[in-house]
Amino acid sequence: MIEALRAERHSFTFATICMGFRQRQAYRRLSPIANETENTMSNSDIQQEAQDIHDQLPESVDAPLDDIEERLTTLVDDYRVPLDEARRSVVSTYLSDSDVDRDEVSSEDGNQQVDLEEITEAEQWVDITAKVADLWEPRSDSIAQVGLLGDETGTIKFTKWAKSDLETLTEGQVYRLGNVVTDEYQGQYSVKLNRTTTIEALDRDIEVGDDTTDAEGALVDIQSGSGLIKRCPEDDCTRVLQNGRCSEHGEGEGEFDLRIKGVIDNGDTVQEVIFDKEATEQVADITLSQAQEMAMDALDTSVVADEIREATLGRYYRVQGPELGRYLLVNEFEQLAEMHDPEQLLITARSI
Amino acid sequence: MSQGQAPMRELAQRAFAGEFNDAGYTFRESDDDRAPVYALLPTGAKANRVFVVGTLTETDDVGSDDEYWQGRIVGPTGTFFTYAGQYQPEAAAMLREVDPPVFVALVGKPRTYETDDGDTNVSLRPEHLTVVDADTRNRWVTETAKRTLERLERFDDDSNEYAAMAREEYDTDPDQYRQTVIQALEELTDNAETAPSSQDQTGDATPSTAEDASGSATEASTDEDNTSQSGGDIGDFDTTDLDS
Repeated sequence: MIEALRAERHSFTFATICMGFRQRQAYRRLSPIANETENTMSNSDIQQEAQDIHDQLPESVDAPLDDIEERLTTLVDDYRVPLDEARRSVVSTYLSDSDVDRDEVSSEDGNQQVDLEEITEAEQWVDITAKVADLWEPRSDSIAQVGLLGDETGTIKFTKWAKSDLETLTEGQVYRLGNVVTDEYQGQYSVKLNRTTTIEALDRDIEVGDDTTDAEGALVDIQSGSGLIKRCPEDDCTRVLQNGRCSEHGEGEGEFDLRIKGVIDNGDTVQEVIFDKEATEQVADITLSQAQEMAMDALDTSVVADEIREATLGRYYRVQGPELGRYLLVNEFEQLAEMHDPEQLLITARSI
Repeated sequence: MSQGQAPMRELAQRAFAGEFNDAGYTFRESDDDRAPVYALLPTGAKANRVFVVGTLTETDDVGSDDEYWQGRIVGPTGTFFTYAGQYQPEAAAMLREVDPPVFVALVGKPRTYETDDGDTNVSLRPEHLTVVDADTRNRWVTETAKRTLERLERFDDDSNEYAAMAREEYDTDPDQYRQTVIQALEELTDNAETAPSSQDQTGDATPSTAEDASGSATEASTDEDNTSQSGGDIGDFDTTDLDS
């Protein structure tokens, strides 16, 4: 437990120094834990923490162990500062005294090496070991590479900025990536490579794990926002336009897209699902250009959703894909034609 | 519908007509005006929404001034009645234009209304009504059998509050719904090679006074001994309770 707490502290110690407001956020989040440790604080905790800081600071920083411990003790014992805040403060003091580039420090082994499935918080600096599972077409010149990283526990999107000037990643290759930052958008996590990220190609393979779930049942609803929609064309913005407006970028032309926000229900559980363009085209047997034509003829986009409803509602599907918030993103699906075994059910019915 | 904290979407229950048409007792679980209304399934479950697949055999405009469409959806153990008016334009249009018999899937809300002679009739107000195929219908029959058996298996659990409520509100013996399940499954296994046809033309249309009487506290109808006495054949269902 203590190890886990310490590890968590490690993972954002340096990133959070830079900006005051983030520091406060982190403090709030950790305060219950910090209070707990405070109550049971002993000298050995402080010694341990001091040792950690000592090991982590670059050689060029003049920071004797005694000195670190003394500063920590003052903050914790005399000023009742929670240990993790004290740690941050002490590190910060040494760094500002010594003019060391913070990024240089954080790319030392200060980060936690995490599995991809453990990434459940934004703005964490972490190290990962993962295979480049997929490379996608960057939507903007500011992005050098974008795609999917995978390890045994799952997959995660990555973005590598052009200005970071990093080496090119190869699909299928396993890398150890030091000092990447986690990010979150609408419940989905990603990692961003940056100028300070270290990239080390490893000579081994990783079996990329399966983080998909599945659901089976009747499609009992298709919600508003389904059918032919328009998305904001701004770089890296995929928001759906409402009355021609993006909530972030204002009025815009928008790019047409197809999707289904639906509900799969088997009489026991309810699962909300999203079919993206490809899945929608398949399940409703309609192409994006047909949908656009249809809407043009009718002078109304809602005819597309009507068509999709007619083609899919009330049918049984098995869908599979990763979960994003309360939605399952459908990667694969099939329409179910088979029954539950009636003979077996009869046996059950007669035996009750 | 969606309030501050996004209420959970209500599950779509599965029940055969033989059971659903007995679910005349409705209730709410909070005093909030917008609290969902539930019909109590006699096997011990609350149903704010149901999913039904069957053969649409007949449609009828039973409205006086405005269109008010009635559809009869026949399953292996009886008939569901659905009504769609101006507030269900898609379902109403579908009922107007469709050429029965066809297999249909319906997602809808249970509604009860009291007849002139004091009986409670249960019908469905459609959210969605679409044409489907025989595979979908057969899967629904087996799925509904499965869910009904699961409810029956839980019926005697002490912690089953809806079973307790059903014992309180209904006189029916839950075993009759087990018979309903057997009947539905036998129809499938006996006629495995012939998809169920829909020659139903028995029974007359139900009364046209189908005002949506949702939420009105209705007394559970006294049981009229009207269920599961028919054979397994489609077309032989018994709808006396609704046709009275």
